[in-house]
Formats: sequence, C-alpha cells, structure tokens
Amino acid sequence: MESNIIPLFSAIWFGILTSVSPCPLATNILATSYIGKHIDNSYGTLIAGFFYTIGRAAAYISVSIIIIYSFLSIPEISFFLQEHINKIIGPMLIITGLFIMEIIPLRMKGFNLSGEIQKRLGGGNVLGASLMGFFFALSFCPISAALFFGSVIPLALKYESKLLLPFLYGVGTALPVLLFAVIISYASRYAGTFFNKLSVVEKWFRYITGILFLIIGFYFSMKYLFRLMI
Amino acid sequence: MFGLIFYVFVTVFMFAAPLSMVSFAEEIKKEPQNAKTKIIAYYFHGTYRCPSCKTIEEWSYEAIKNNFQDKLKNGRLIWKALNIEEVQNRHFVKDYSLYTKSLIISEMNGEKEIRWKNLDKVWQLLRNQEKFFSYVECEIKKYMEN
Repeated sequence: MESNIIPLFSAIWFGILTSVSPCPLATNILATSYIGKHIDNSYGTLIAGFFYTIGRAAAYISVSIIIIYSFLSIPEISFFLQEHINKIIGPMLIITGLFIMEIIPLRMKGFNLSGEIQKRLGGGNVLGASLMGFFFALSFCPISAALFFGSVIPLALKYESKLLLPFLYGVGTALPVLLFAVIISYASRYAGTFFNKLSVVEKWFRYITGILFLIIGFYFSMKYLFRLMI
Repeated sequence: MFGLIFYVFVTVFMFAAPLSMVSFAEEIKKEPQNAKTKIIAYYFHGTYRCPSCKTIEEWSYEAIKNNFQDKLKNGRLIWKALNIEEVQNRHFVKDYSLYTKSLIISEMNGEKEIRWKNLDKVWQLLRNQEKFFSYVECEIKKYMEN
C-alpha cells in the first residue's frame, strides 16, 4: 500500500456517498431505530453502533476477498447479491421484527435461553447489530453496487489493499448510523440525570423498531421476492 | 465576342478553382475519418427503476440531447435505453461487464464494434448535475474526436 492517503479518503467518501443516497434509506432507518432502542443503556447504543459498523465492514471485506481469490467475475457476484440477498432479507426482517416485539419468544426445542442472553440476542447488542450490519451491507442496491464494484474494488486492486479499502468503505457506509448512536448515547446520559424513566422510552423504541422491521420487511418481500412495484 | 467570353470563363476558373479546391479539402477534413462509424450511448437498466437510476437516465439523455442534437439527427450518435433483464438484452451484461445500471458508449463500424467505455463516474456525480452533464459531454466529445 502506498503512503498516498487519497485512496483511503476516497474509500470513506464512496461509503458516505452510498449511505446518503435514497437507495439504502430503508435499511438505515432500521439500523438507527434498532440502535435507538438501546436507549436505556447509554453504552448499549454505542456498542450496537460500533458492531453494526464492524458487521458492514466485514461484509465488504468478505466480498473483496471472494472477488480476488475466486474465479467468479464482478458482474456475477454483483448481480447474485443484488438479486438473492434482497430476496431473503424481506422475510428475515419480518421474523426479526416478530422477535423484537417478543411476539415470537426466542426459544428453541431443548434450548431455552436465559433472560439475559435473550435480551442480548433479541435486543442484541453485539451479535444482533453485527449480523444486521453484515446482511444490510450484502443487500446491494444499484448505487452501492456501482460505488463498491466500480470504484472501491478497482482502487483495492490498484493499491493492493484488499482489506483496508473495503473496510474503510464499510465504515463510510455506516457513518450516519454511527453518528446517530453517539448522539443517542450522550442524550440518554443527560436524560438519565433528569428522570429515571428511560426503560419506558426503551419499551416504546422496541415496539417502534419491531413495527418498522415488519413494514420494511413486507416492503422488501413485495419488491424483491414477489416482484411487485409498490 | 466568343473570344471575350472564353477569356472571362478561363479567368474565373483560374481564380475559382483554387478556392473550390480549398473548400473541398476542408470538407474532407471535416468529414469523419470513417463515415460509417457511429456512436451508441446505451443506458442499461433493470425492470425495477430506482430513483437514482431514473435520474442517471434522464440526465444522461438530457446531456446528450443538449450537446449533440445534430449528431442525434444525422444518426452519428444514437441513444438506446435497454432493460438488461429482458432475454434479448442479457448478453450485454457479459459484453460490457455490467455490475449495475450503467451508461456505456460504444463505437460501431457497420455491425462491428470497435471500442466501448463504461462512464462509471455517473454514480459519483449524482449530487452535482452540472458536473454530471459536463462529464457525459466531455467523454462523448473525446470519443468522437479520437
């Protein structure tokens, strides 16, 4: 990697351009509401925001490695992800929404999770946020495909940076959500000193987040799974 | 009388001939090197049209229409918007290594494609209409000149 910092800033800038476009708006709304529901714990929002970013970056690094080390071409990978991940993400969001609203309890046969673990997975600071970031990043839309496959990957190949540049692009795509997590974290700390009812706010956030997951999951299912224009 | 007419005719021809030769030479210079070649500007989209994809299509066509109207009229430049999800257009994905909705310019000599270019910066310039127009115009101009 050259000492030139231009490609580093370019990768972050392409990520920011992706994040502020209308295309990933739905997933950004979900991510912010998901992170916001940890408002009862000021570190919870920060942790969720951090791991959401890590999840996104991990997805882009994985795709970059697949492109470099596999025989698959960029068009094949790009169209596969745009077509198939978007198809499964709708039903996945609906199921997650049902978990968040606790309509479906997180229990499996012979495998009951304790309240604390359930809270961590269902409310999911680390695992939930990372997985959400990972899958949202993989659900490529036209602009993220254009900027990632058309700008970041050529840069990564040119500067032989198959890990760092895709990682920085991932950080760039998560920046608005990360910024929101920091603001909410500070806001909740100050709010906590005035009144001790953040658990009530958290409850409302949880329901709103769950409903948003259901609505956007329904929207994704209609659009990508059933190919209905709405 | 006949001699006078002949003299005037010869004089006019002597002065006019070099002028007409010059203008003829200029005409040759102005003509494209190969009049058979034409540029096709393709916009490739899918069945679902996202807001950014529609903007790129509209701006690209507008930039072409505003700057190359004469070329569009005489057929030297052709605009085509195609759906790559339709069976007959799927080969373009492989032909141009498409990975998203794209603006491609292709130079054709008859039925044979000579060269093509993906104007991939259209996605980076989506927030700046002026730069977008200038980018599309410059790229097509460069392509026509070279």
